[in-house]
Amino acid sequence: MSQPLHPVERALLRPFLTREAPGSFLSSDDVGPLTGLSPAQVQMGLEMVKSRGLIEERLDREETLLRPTDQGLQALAEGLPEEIIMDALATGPRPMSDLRGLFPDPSVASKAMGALKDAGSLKVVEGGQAVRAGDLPPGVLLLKKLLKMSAEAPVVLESLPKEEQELLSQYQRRRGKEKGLIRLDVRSFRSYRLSPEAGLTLSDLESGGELLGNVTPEMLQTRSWEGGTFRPFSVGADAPPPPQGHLHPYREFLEEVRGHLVRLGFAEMTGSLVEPEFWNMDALFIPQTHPARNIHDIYLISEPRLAKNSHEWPMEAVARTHEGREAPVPTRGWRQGFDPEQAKRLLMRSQGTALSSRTLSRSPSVPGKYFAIARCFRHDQVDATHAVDFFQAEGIVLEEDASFVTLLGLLALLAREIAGVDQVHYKPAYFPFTEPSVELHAHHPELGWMELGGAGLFRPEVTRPLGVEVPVIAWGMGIDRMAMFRLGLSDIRDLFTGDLSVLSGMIRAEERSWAAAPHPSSPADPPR
Amino acid sequence: MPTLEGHLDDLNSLLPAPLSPEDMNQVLDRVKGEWKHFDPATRRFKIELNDTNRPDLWSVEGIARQLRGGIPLPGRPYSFLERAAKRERGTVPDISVDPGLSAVRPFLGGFRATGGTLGEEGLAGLIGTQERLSELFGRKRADLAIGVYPLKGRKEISFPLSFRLADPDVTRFVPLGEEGPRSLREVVATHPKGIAYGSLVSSHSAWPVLADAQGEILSLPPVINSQTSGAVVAGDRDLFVEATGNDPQRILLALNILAANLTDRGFHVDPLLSKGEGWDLLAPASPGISVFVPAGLPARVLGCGTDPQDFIEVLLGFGYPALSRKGKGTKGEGGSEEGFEVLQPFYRDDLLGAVDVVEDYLVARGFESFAPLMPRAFTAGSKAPRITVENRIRTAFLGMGFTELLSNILTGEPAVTARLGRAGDLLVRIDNPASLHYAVVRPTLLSGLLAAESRSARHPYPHRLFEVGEAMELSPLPSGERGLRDLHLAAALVSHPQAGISELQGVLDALLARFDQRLVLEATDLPPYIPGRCGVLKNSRGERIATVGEIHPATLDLWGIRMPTAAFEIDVGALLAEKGPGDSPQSGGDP
Repeated sequence: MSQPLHPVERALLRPFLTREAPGSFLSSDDVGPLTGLSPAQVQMGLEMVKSRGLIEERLDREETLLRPTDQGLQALAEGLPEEIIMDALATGPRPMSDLRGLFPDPSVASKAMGALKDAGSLKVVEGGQAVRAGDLPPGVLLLKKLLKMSAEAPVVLESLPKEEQELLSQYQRRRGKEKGLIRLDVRSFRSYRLSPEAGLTLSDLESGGELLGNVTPEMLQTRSWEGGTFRPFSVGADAPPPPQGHLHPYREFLEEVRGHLVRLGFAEMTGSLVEPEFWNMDALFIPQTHPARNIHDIYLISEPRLAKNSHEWPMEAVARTHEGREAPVPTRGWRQGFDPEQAKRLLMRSQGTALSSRTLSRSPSVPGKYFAIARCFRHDQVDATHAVDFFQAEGIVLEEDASFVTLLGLLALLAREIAGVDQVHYKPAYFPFTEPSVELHAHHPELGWMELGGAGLFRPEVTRPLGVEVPVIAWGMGIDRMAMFRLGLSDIRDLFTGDLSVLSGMIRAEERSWAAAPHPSSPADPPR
Repeated sequence: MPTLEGHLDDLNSLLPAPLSPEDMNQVLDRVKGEWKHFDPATRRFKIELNDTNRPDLWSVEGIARQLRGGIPLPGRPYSFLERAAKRERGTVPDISVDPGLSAVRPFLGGFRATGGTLGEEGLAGLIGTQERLSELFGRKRADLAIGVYPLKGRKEISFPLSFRLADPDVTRFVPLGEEGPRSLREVVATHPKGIAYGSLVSSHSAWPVLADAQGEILSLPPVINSQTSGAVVAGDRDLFVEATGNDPQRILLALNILAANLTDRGFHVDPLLSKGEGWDLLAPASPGISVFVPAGLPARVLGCGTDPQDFIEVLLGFGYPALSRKGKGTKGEGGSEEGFEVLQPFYRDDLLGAVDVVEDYLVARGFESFAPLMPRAFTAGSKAPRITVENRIRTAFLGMGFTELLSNILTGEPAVTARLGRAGDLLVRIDNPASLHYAVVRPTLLSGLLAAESRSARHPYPHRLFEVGEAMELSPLPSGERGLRDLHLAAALVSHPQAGISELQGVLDALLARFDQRLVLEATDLPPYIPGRCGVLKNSRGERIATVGEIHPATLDLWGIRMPTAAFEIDVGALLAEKGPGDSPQSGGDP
């Protein structure tokens, strides 16, 4: 024998060798008590020895067991739909619509009324009134009887009279079907005998002695394992999954982006979810009449409405720059009045650039690089491409000789490091706070050409009133789309889903996407 | 962002050499446009225009003009500029504006365009341009609205015109598209344009009307033209164009753009003079605005050397009418600065400063023609302290087998009040919510965890969930007013048949240990937990910084959860505040 027998296998085989003449069959019910094994062990042991070809199997007979379904138990407790309808008609005619109202699912009512009409138990008279025309049909009564019997103990279908079996076929439920009152389960009876080819003898059961099971501390202390053989383990079998936790795959994606930026020398900025329009808009030289400042584009806070610390802001310099009079920088400005009250209005941060304007006003380092991955809010209709809040990645670079060509270089670097794309294209763009402005388009291996972000050199109208004299590169990147691709999502709202099944799907998609990406192993000397 | 629809053959008829659809994406870089759609069968296209500060580009004529480098079409010079320059300002105005309009619709300008033909495509284009200018540049007509009229329509318009106030109940005219006369007030109440734009005039006691020398009412600006004198058709050869608004510069720009467009279509444009009390406006006309570009700026912005002669030539080819090299005497700083005096094209008003001119130079040369240079300065990168703390918490949870959730920050009010058994007095509310589902800023993460639980009954148990993130609530200021307080929270939830407070107490304790703190719970009764089966952790000042407990079955019922559930929430910000300030200099909002 190639592999030693498992104790369960030995216990199971013993009765076949000791109690019966070789070649006679033992039913599975008979084997159990002879082995001292639990029914589950018997079942498992039979499968084991069968798969080894030590015993043969014979199908003796099958029977079908009746059991009530959940719906059946409910019908037993509350009455069958036909009964409920007939009871409701006991006191006189009622409109059909009334009867339908008795059930949460109107199709249940329609079906039952149809059956009652066919059986002549119910008639529909003028005005859509239903009246009783007889007693409950015998079929319903029988069904009720069977439900009651099967609720107490399983009933064997084959033991019922033929007509009852036929009637039941209308109400039965095969395994896996949703509807029905009674479920039918097939039970098979099998017998087994020693396989003549195996030529198994009692000595086979004894040989090899006791096998060692799991290693125990005692075993190690007493060295009892020495000279013994360990029982083999069926390593091909499914193992139970361990309890697992997961970090959110979108958050992990953001963490990866964050890691790239930190490695590129960017320091992270954070701030409040609520900003005054001043830092979110005015300090960025977005005119106070700009459409993006419309109440249909931003979320205003109802209380408090205005920031109270505006005296700490460079309001005067920003106002003069907007108005284009006595500005701290040569500009024609927007040539319209500047309303400081509007600047104080509080809103949900609509762009991470608010953090950049604050940083510029706080004597940032030169050279300096700063970034933020900030939750932002836009007043959009929420749909598959618009989330109520979302993450925006952006940053600034302060450098004596920051210029348009270093901006292009930085964008190429970000595209490569963050999005993993080498092929980029720069398009002229317009943003109120940068000039020149660029849109970065990148060729994604799967998604094709896509807009990756916007960037530019901050206008002097932005930097000077905040006290910054060096040129400042500003960039922003749409990271949602990259994340959705990675996580196999087509609906942006799923990034923030509470449905654990969707979340599991994201985790699987991330695993597949990671495995599909190239991961060159670290260079090492080949073994010699 | 404006979207322009047009016909490729029409666009090509305004260009010296026809463009194919394949050329468009690259060519449109020069107008910051994107070729969005082209139907080869009808040859119609859609272009998205990204420059919200260049309304001159929001028309087929304007795009063609920029692609031509500002050069007029053969035989169609912008000669109205010379006619305007010669016109005496002291002469009798063509349009007089009533001083009483200063509080209603202060300014109006206009011009005549004669001897051309619009055709169907031209008329549709003109109406489209008029709409885009009024809606986007004029902010839904509040700042600017445009009217176009046939000079010789059902009734010929006779000059001079008068823009004056009228009694909305007495004055009557036939609005465009209708048959019988109505009072101004009826027009605003019933006509579709009246309903859309009537609010711009209806709060005033007297309303603006534009009338000709015969007293015929041409329109109720900025709402609707008259059917009698203001209905333009494709065959009209002579037009009158006006614009009203609050800002004469904006009106002049809009009229300059329309005059250039109509000249490109073969019209002869005659500037008209309008006058009000203390002001006059001759349009179209060159505003003669120039911008000084310091000599060194192009090279500084670009990051590599530029040739001054190249700078001049490239910009002249991009539509700039004149650039001259000069020294400039700068006031107050002494000395003079070398540079370029750059005249802004008459159909543009987007040059605010020198960088705008330099950007045009870069666009004209083509962004692809510059070699990117990698930034060289070394800087040290760092994560924000808040993120470092969050990641410490996240990995602690991960080690304890929890799964992370990420929820929206805006939520519905009942989710954080009624459904948690809590009051809403400290909620930060949105004044203009787009939906009641997103009407408040979350003050807690528990609602997100419970919402997830309520959606996940089919997911195999046990569920162990957590979230770390931002939230917000109102907090009393020393002044007695209420201010905003950013919260930095962590919350966890377990849901399975044996879920109970002790499991989460252990988790919270282990989490606190990551910050070298111990869990000392006080019993308390606090929704949404079961009384007697919840506790709070307080800091040294006695402030509550964490709560933990078993969620009350009544609360579970509200969320539709049918599984024992326990949860905790901890104010991480308050926990760490015990140890001193944790935020970096460049982080944090206003205190």
